[in-house]
Amino acid sequence: MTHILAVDDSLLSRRMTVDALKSTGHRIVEAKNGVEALESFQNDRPILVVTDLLMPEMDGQQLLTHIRELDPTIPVIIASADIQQSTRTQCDELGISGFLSKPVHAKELLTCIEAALNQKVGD
Amino acid sequence: MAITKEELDVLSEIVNIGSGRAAFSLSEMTGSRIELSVPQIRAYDSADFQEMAKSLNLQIATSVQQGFQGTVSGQALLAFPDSNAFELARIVGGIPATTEEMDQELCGVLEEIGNIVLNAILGSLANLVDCSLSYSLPKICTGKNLSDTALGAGNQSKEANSVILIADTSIIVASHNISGSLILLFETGDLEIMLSHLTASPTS
Repeated sequence: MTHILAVDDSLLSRRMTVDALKSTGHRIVEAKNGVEALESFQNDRPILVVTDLLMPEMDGQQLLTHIRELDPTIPVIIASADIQQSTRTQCDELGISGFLSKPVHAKELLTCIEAALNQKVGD
Repeated sequence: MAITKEELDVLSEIVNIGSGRAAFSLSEMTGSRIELSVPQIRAYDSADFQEMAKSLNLQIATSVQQGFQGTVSGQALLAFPDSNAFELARIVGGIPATTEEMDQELCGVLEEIGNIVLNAILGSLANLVDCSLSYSLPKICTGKNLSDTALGAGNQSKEANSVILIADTSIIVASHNISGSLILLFETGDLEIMLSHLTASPTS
């Protein structure tokens, strides 16, 4: 069964993401930081990653860099409280399918995921 | 360091813009209308601030503190008196009021609230000044008064003569009289750099 990897050190934000994605029918795997997420990614490849940026152990940009080394095209969506344009630009350069500002609307996330799954990065 | 009225007005507008962004985020999280007061911006050097804080006897039960570094650096705090922090975390997290203790779950929710609110204001400032900031992980401080909390944050600054910039914004969640204060602490040299950018560029 395909799954989506949800990465965030905030239990609240992970719960909101899981609740939002219940209707998709996809299994949701959670990770509390980039290290956990990367291990999960390597063990069981998801179809899409939703990740926060500011996290302990390994932040979202570092995670994205590692993910891109393993899979240049897997869709990655950023869900972050960081609203800086410079941060958005840095993530764009690494290759992302969406950049959502927290708190993320369930409908907004679902729309972004649907668009991302219909279009791979680099296409 | 002396800050002119014009510079304070510009800083006030920056905080106002960021506060609006933060209010929107909080409204989304609580499902309630959020009312904001107009930010009151005041600048103090360390000695003046300590005297002011003592005279007002400001007490902070709980605060979320986040450091920022880059073109400008310092500390930002979202501070709550009494049990307001517990109540806001319960509302946002949907956690029943079965305990008065700040358990791990409540702490996590409050850290995330602080993360979103502080990022809204700092990110707005960074975008307006066209600079890039990196952030420390938010952390919760409890049981300290305003002067200890802010000066504690100031002790982490690189320079001794930090300017303490206080932006008092009251955040009110409709049907719950929850109020908080936003405190920004900038290092003197960095504040001068930021102000030179702000006053040289239009903010509207």
